Amino acid sequence: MNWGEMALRLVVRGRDRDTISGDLLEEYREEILPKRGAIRAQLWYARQVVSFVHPVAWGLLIGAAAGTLQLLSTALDPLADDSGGVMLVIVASLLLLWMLASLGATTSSQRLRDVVISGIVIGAATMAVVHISSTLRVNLFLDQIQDRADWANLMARYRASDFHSLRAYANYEYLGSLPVLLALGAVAGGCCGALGGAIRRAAQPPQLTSK
Amino acid sequence: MAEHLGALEQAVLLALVRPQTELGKEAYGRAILKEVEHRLGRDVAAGAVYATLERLEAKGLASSRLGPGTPVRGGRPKRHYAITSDGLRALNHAKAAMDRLWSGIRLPVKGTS
Repeated sequence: MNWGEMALRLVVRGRDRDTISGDLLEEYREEILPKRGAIRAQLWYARQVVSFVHPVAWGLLIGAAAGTLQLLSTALDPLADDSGGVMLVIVASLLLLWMLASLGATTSSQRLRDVVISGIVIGAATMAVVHISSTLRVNLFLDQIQDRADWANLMARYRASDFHSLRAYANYEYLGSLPVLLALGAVAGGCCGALGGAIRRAAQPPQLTSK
Repeated sequence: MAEHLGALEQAVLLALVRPQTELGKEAYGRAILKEVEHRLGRDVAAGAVYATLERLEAKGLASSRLGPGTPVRGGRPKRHYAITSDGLRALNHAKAAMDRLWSGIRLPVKGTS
């Protein structure tokens, strides 16, 4: 269970690391493992760890993964255009991850509002990190990516501007797009949370029955 | 003015005041989680209960102390929780507010249609 312990220690605050991991270990050994068997017990432990992850941390994690992929793909092939199919897969994966993370961050909540808020936070945090990685990409690979077909419009705007440095202009444009990206992430994340919450609600049996 | 309490906060504070299970009487993290699940009649994520305990401590509605560990816990200590006088006041306020809300209504509630 070392992997789980390590993950748990990353997501709980220092003061409670030993007490919480002790509580989970006790439950795991006394209740879960004897009743559910090794594999389902491991899944139970993973679910408990997930329940400690804050929505902001989910957003940062997803953003870091997406940003790393973006930087790696640019480093490998700076001039490769993003085809429609690839973009569709990326966006669909992002939306699915936002929905799952929203549900993971609100496992105990019965309220749709909590899942939506969680989705908003996750979406905005993801886009913030992706924006940092995009800005990093521009500054690291400016000489190569300025010849990309999808940079044609930016290059035209740069030539029409008063800027004397392409780097400065690209950073200026990227910075200007930050509020829109954050808003887009928040709205899309909120929608993913709402969808996930609605699916969870539909899948759960009703809590109260009345005649 | 007493602190407004959410449903999970009330369940956790009630678990500290009136535990209904043997384990619940020990009032450490796992015991409180089991007690809350027993009271609510459903599974509750561990993270939600610990976050609630942390919040209640920050509001001064609960306090905690460290206790010794046991072999089944790998020797790790237990954190025992207790309700404070402010916590009791908030809990009583929450119950009074709920009673006012339901006053004059007989169960089961029937619709007008």
